Parts: sequence; structure tokens; C-alpha cells
Amino acid sequence: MKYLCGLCLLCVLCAACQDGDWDAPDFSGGAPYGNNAITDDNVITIAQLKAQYPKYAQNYTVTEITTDCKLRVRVTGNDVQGNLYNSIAVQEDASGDALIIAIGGSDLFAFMPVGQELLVDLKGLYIGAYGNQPQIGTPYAKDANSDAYVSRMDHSIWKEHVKLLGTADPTKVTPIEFTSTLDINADCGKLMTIKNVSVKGANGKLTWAPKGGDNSVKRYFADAPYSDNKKYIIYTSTYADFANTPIPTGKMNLTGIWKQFNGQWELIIRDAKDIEPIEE
Amino acid sequence: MTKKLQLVASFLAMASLGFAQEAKETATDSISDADEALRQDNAAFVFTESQLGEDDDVTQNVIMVNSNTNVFNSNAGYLFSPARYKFRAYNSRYSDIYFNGVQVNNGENGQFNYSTIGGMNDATRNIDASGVFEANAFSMSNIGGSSNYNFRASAIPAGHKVTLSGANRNYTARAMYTFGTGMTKKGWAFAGTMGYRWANMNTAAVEGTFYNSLSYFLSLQKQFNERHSLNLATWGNPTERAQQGASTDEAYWLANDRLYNPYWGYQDGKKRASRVVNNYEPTAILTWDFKINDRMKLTTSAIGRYAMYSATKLNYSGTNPHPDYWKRFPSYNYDVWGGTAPTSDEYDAWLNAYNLWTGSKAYRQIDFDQLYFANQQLNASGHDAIYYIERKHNDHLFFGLGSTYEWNIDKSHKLHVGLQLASNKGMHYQTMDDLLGGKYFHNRNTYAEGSYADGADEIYYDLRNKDGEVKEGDRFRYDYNLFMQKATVWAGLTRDKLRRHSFIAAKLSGTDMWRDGKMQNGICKDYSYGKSGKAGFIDGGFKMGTNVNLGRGQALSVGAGYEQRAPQVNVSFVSPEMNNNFVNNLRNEEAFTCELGYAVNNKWLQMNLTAYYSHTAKGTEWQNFYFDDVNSFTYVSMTGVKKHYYGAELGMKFKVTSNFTVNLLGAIAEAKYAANTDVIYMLSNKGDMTHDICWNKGMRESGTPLAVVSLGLKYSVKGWYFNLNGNYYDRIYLSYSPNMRYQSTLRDQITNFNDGTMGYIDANGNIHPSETLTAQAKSNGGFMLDGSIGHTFRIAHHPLNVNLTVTNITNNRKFCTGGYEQSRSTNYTSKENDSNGSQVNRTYNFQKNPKKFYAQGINFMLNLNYRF
Repeated sequence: MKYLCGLCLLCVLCAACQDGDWDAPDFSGGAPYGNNAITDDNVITIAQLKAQYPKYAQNYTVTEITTDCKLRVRVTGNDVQGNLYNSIAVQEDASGDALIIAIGGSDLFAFMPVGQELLVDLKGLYIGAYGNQPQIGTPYAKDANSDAYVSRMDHSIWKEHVKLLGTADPTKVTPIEFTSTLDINADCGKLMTIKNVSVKGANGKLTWAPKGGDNSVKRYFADAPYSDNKKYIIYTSTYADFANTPIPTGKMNLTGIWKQFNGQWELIIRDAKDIEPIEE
Repeated sequence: MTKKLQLVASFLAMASLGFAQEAKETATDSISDADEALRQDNAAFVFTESQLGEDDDVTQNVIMVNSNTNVFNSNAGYLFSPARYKFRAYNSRYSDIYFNGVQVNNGENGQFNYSTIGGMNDATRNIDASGVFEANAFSMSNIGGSSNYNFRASAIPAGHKVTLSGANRNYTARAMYTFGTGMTKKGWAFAGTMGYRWANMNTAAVEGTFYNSLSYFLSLQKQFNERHSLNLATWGNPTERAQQGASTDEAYWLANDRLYNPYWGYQDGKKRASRVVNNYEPTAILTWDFKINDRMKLTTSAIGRYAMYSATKLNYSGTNPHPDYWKRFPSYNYDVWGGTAPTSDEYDAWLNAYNLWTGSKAYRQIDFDQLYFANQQLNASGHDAIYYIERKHNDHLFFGLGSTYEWNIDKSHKLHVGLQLASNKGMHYQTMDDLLGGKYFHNRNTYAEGSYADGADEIYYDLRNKDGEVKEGDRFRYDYNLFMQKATVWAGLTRDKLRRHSFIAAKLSGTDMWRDGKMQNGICKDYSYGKSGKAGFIDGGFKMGTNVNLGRGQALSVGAGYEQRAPQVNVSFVSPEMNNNFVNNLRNEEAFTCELGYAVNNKWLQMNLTAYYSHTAKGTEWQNFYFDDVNSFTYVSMTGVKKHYYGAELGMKFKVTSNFTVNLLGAIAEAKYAANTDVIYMLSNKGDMTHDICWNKGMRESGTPLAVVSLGLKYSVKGWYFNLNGNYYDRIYLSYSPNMRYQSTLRDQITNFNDGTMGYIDANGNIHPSETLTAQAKSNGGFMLDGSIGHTFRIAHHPLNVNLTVTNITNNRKFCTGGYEQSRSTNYTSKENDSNGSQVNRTYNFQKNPKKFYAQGINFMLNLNYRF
């Protein structure tokens, strides 16, 4: 029996949990996302980038960025509720100029929340337009006979070209007011709020993007001058978390990324919180 | 784990004080038994977790085929274990396991988890194994056979035995100590065994796994007089182990390793497993043996078991963080299976993915740092964590009672009558194991979000606690109990007359089952919380067989049986995680089986040749998986399942000389669905049910070779013994994916994606899918050469057995032992959007990328045991 007790004791002493509690990793050396080796030399503005690559807004053109240049921008929109798909919207703090960056990945909001400042190494990436909306990405052609356009880059490529700067500061992201007088080519891609508007057909049951049929749904403003369907739409994915939420029937302030598609303004609501009914 | 170990240690220490050592007898095992004992030691070692039923998620548990009289049955289980051989390809619920006469199969799935008696090999050697048509003293044998383990203290040889083992397999080291007193003059017997099995992340054969298991067994018997004996036995083996995941051939190619395991990753530079199983099933059994008179006896056992099983899993509400997620593979970027040539951009993308996979080991594993970082970023904005480790619990409280009356009526007739009672409470729930740095998590159905208005009832898993935050250790998603109560009476009569041994047995059972929901699921708010109705089933059957001695050592046997079997609790509910509804059309399964055997037993040859046929009908099966055609988790019930099982088995043992034996074993089996099956499934983001037909006619039972052959040489000389076995395995099918064979899916494929190879739809609208669409994924089979060498030394007048077993000597790493088809559609019926809103089809071909397991290359086990 003493042998049994001895072995028992030995086993208990030896046996220890191998999957114990884990401490959070130490990120003091930099975020484990992106490329921390990117340095902040040769930083240019979005305006300078557009000047260097003047075909940026031409449909079905895609131009490789060959110069050693970087952008310092802040995230204004992401896929937090699944509506801005495979892309983020960024703006410069100082100028307010905006761009769309197309990235083949979801949960981008978890790594690049609104307010996160980014240093983007542009060399090797591509600039071009889809529906005249300028964006950064990589080329994509449906087949060998089709024209290439700029589309989402592989997530691994993006990680090689981005460095996260500090922690996200959402207070530095403030939408400007959207008006019909804005220049669509200059202001597309920006975070903006349209105020005191209602949606056509909203009856308490109509939702933003019911499932069935296409993967996205267009809604239209009821109020002039935004009621012009050819110029202004609200574009919502059926996969958005708020897709099946009824559209408020009254007046609202709506915030989101205002992209363009061949001269038409498209409001992409980022989050259900972007929908603010106005209490009358 | 540590708490469990302390508990066990305290219990053992207290127990040991009560037992005084009394007279002990010399170990009676002869040297010639040593080979067999070592073989059993090794047998328990080489079974993989899925074979042993250690993984509750895996349904392909092996049947440990055994028989005391049949050459094939007594050798196949051990010999073919590296290929996960299942006796006649049966699910292990067709094999009954008894301890001291009380049935102990799991109360919900009917299977027996052999891992719960792992590490206590010396206590599990006394088995009364009964073939399909062999009469026994404890049951009407199941169609996959039955075994009764004798855990009485007096059955364990007196003396001490220490076993030390080293291996490069699931675990690296094992130590066991066994002690037995035998029956003393005062009528007491005590036996105990203690074992420990260990491997860490750096020593286990599969990288990223570990094994940590303590085993104990204690048995105390008191022989009051010639008529009465009482035995109390208790055992358990608290185990913590990390799991291996199956992956695709592309992953194995990129990792240059067919044991590549996607279930682990790096955290702060250290290896961390994402799937860890904790299992502990403390069990106690009290047995009363009552010898009524010289011709009658009564054996009664009562058993109690509290099983605590939990398994962790890395889960997410966003992008799949697993390294072998299909969108990370090179072949995601263009059709590598002979489609159109890639554009230069597609090729560049392919090359980029290839370089990432092959360039860095870390890329091929989970990046825990990134998951922590993401959750920490989300903390700042008040969002819920999107990556977390959840723990699924399947706990069971089981009580059973078995009583058998034996009456030797006369010299040629023997009657057994028995009663079995069982009660099982299965407790199923999920807890938050690790939020991976996240601060917030809410118990919401992320599959349903987007399908319902923000704040709608349907998006909550528990309306009774809508806004409660889920912290580490809290229950979430589902929480329910399943109850089962069963009573069985059976009787068996054997008759030995002239040259004929015959038996007939019958049984009758009543089963009740119900569910008790602990959460009010928002999608099923009126029928998820509280108790369901009760479902009751009466079932039973009979079996008969005869064995005729033809003279000159030859015998012919024939047997047939029919039974109805109540559905198992685990397949009886449509969606037990969500609601109380029973499956429609739930009925007793019918099982018919028959067998014809021929045996020879003489001085130089022992042979068994057996042919069998079994048919099951009205069966019920259940699965749950992510069904991405509809972007939802799905619960699938198949009813009216019909299957055929037939084949032949041959076992031959030639005694060439007194110390040289040649064994030849072979089996060819068929085990397949006999008809297409009705399917009903429920999506986790909707409450409604969808009816369909699964075109699974002809699908084979998976994860086991349906053809095996083995040639073995056994030689012994001067205390040395040598074994060499060449085993060939073929016709191994992978587990088929039902949703890829739904009639609606097949119709959609033929209608919308037909390239001329998928079949056609006739003028009446009936589909005629081709093999291209419905063929079941399969392994190519393979050959393995296994050998062992052993010797018995005498140290201080006691035997020291040394045995070295080497498996897969030819290092065949191309042998796929099993796996499963992926349940995703290559031709995605919903299609995907690209970043600019265009619809694109998937280039990744799921049909050509089943997930597989491969056999380990050359591996060994060195075993030493010393008796004193």
C-alpha cells in the first residue's frame, strides 16, 4: 500500500494543468497587426497623391503607385455592422480629404476602429476608381479580356502596407454636413450627415434592406432636392446588422460615408447609431 | 484539473488507510501470458481519441471487437486499430458494455467511451466477451457484440506490478502501479491501480497537442461466506488533453506535414491549444454475488457515475480566425482543378498565399496575439468581443442497476434472466472559457442579427436574461438537460445436447425521455424554456443461434435475430440547443441480423470463417453544422434511415511449430444506406422547419476500412518473442455531407451550374444527379508493417517484461485513415459580392477538399513491467 500511496503522491505532484490561465500578450512593442517597420518619412497628402496620379478618378483605370510615399489618415468608416463591405473610409485630419481603401477582409473594424490613425505605405499599391469613386487597392479583372479596375487587396498585402499609430481616438472624427451644393468629385468618400430628411415609403414596416433578391437595397429620400433618385440614394447591404430594422417614418439625421457611383451620391450608413430620428 | 487531482489524491489517501495488507499470493500469470498482456497494454495506447470516443463531437467510435473463441474477433480490434477499424462498420451503440453485469453505455448516444477506463489496464483485463451470436451470462448480445468487465477485487492477481512506458504517440510517458491481495483467508480482497499518462506540446506526436491523465481504480471485496460476497469498486481518470484537427490535402502539402494540426497557435511566442478537452467520470459500483445453491446464483450490481466532459473551441462572430480557413488557401484565388488559366493577378494572389503558408510556421497556426488585439480595440469602443474560447459541457449523472439470475437447470440447460434499470440526466450547456482580452460579451444570436429588427426578441438566446453580460465562466447560448429512463428485462436459455450447442434469448424494454430547457430562446420563445412532453417507447427483440460440432475439430454455426430499438435521446430532438420539439416521425429502429460461421480447431490450425448480413430500418440520425448556403447554423434530423451491412470475415492461426505461428486475418464488408432519407432541418436564425430528401443511398459508413487483410508471424524462443504483422486497409470512406446531397441543393446545382457533368432533370421534373455530384469522398487505403520484440528477464527472482512495439515500420505517411467532406457549397447558391457589388462564384472547390486525417509515420512504444 505504501507503494500505491507513494506513486499516487508522485503523480499528483507531477500532474499539473497544462492549459492554465493565460496572461494577455504584451503589445508594448507595437500592435500585432500591420507592419511596424513602416517609418513616417515621405508622408504626402491625399491631394498630393491625386496630383501625382491624375488618373485616379478615371473609371477602369488602375495605376500602380511606384513612388516611395505614405499617407497619414484616420479611419472614419468601417464594416462595424457589415454595411461598408471589404473596405474602410479614411480622411486626413487637416484637410478633411477622403479616400476609400478596399481590403479583402471582414472584421476590419476590430483592428481599425473609427478614430484609428494609420500610416499607409502606398508604394506597390494601386490607385484608381470604381464608378468614379477613387480608391486604393489592387487590380482585378473578371477575365483576361476584361479591363482591370481597382478592387480589394488581399488582407495580407494590406497588413504589409499599414502601421497603426497609437490608439483610436473617435473624438477626432466629426462628420460634416451633407448638402446638395457639395462637389461630388472632391467630397466623395467623406463622413457626412444629412439632416432633417425622411425616406420614401417609410411606413413603420419598411426596412432598410430586407433579405431576398439582391444583396443590397436602394432607398430614396422623400425630401427635395434629395428626392432626385438619380442623384441621391441610400445603399444598404442585406447583410447589415440593421438591415431588417424598420425605417423611421419621420424626419431623421443620417450619418455615413457618402460614396459616389458614376455621379450619383450613395449614402452608406455605418451603424444603426448613425440613424437619428428627430423628435418632433 | 488541479482541483480534481487534489480531490482524487485525498480520496485515495483516505481509502488506503482502511486496507491492511494481508496474505498475498505470488503472481500467477505465466510468462506465456506476458505477450498477451503487453499486447493489451499497447492496444489501449495506440487508439486515437476519435476511436475511443474521447471526443463527444465525433460519432465514429470504434467497437472494440472481442471474443474469447473467434480468431478474427479476438485479434482484429488490436491489429487494425491504427486504421480505426470498426467491427462490421457498426456504430459503437450496437455494442453493449457491462461492468459486473450492469450496462454502462452512455444514456444519450448509446455508445461507450473507452477512454473512461484508460490508464487502468490491469483492472480491465477480465472481460467476458460475447460475439454477436454467442450466449452469455449478462445480456442478450447486441448486433455488435457485448462485453462484461469484471471489476471484482479477487479477479485481479495478487502481488505488485509496476509498468513504465515511453512512446512517441499521443502521449510520451506512462507509469502504472497495480496492487492486489487476492482473496485472503479472512475473506477480504483488495486491488488498486494508479496510472499517469503524459505528453506536453513539445513531446506529443502531433504538434500542438498534449496529454495529461491520471487514473485510479480501487476495488474491495468481502466474501462473507460461501454464498454471499459484496464488492465495492470505484475508479476515474481525470484527463486534460488537446485535440488535433483534420485538414485538407492542400494544407498538408503547404505545411509539408500530414500531421499538421490547425487547432493551435502562438500567444506571446508560446504555443497554445485552442481545443482542450477535460474529462472526468468518477464511478462507483456495488456488486452483490449471491450463490443461492449449487445450481442457482444471483448477481446484482448498482452503479453511479457522474461524468464531467467539456471541450473548448475558438469561436468568433466575424472572420474565421482558423489558419486553414478556406479563404486563406492559395487555391482560393483561382480554379486549380483544371478550370480556365489564371490571370496574372490571380496567379500573383495564389503565389502570395503560397509564400505566406510556406514561408512562416506562425502563419499556418492561430495568431492569438491578433485576436487579443482585436478584442482590446473593441473594448475601447464598447463593442462585444468577436473572438473567444467557449467551452461546451456534456455532463451526465447516471444510475444503473443490473441483476441476473442464473439457473443451471440440468446438465444441458442453463437459464439466465435479467433486469436492467437505467436513469440518465444529461446536462448540456456552454460557458465562456476565455474572452481573449475582451471586456464585453452579450448572449445574442449573431446568426439572427440582421434578419430581425434591432432589439427584436429573436436575437436573444435567453429572453429571461436579455441584457446580461456574459463573463468568463458564465453560461451562454444554450443550457438544457435531457432525461432518459429505461427498464429492460431479458432472458436467455442455452442447451447443450449431443453435438449441438444452442441458445435463444429475448428482451423487452421501456424507455422514457424528455428535455428541460434552462434558457428561453428568442426564436422559440414558447417552447424552449421548461420541460417538454415525455416520449415513450416500448422495444424488444429476440435472437437465436446454434453451433453444430461436425467432428474432427470442425463446427458450423448459424444465428439470426431481430429487434426494435428505441431512438437514442441525442437524436430525438430537432434542435435540443434551442427548443423542446421532438423529431417528427420518431420511431423504434428495426434491426435484423444473421450470421453463418464455419470453424476449425485442431492441433495446427484454428480457423473461423463467418458471413453475416444485417439490415436496419426506421433509424434516426442527427447532425448540426454551419450551412452557408443560407448563412446559418443548421440542425438536421434524418428519419426513416435504412442501412445494409454484409460481409465475410476470416481468421486463421497456423501453428507451424510449437514456437512459430502464422496468423491470417481478412474481412470484406459493405455498410451503406439502402435508400434515400427524409430530412428535416431547422436554421438557428429562424424557427421554421424545412423538409427535404437526402440523396444518401449508397453512402458508406465512414472512418473505418471496409476491407482489411493481415498476415502475421509470431515466433518465440528462449524467453524472446517476436511479432511481425503486415496489414493492408482499403475502402475507407470519409463522412459524407448531407446538405450537399439535399434534393433541393442537387436540383439547384443541375439547374444553375451544370457544366454537362452533373446529371439532368427529366421531363417530369425529377432529378438525375451524376456521380460527379454525389460520389462520396474516399481514402486510397494503405499498407502498414508493424512489429514487436519482447523478452522476459528475471530480476531478484521476479519477472521483468520488456517489449518494444514499432508501428508503421515502412513509414507510410500517405495513408488517410478518415475524415469528412466539407459542408460548404462550391457552387454557392447565394453567390458572393465582390467589393464593388458584382456577384462572383467561388473558385475554391470544397468538393475536392475534404478534411482528412493521416496515419502517423513510424512510431514506437517501449514497455517495461515488473511483477513482485
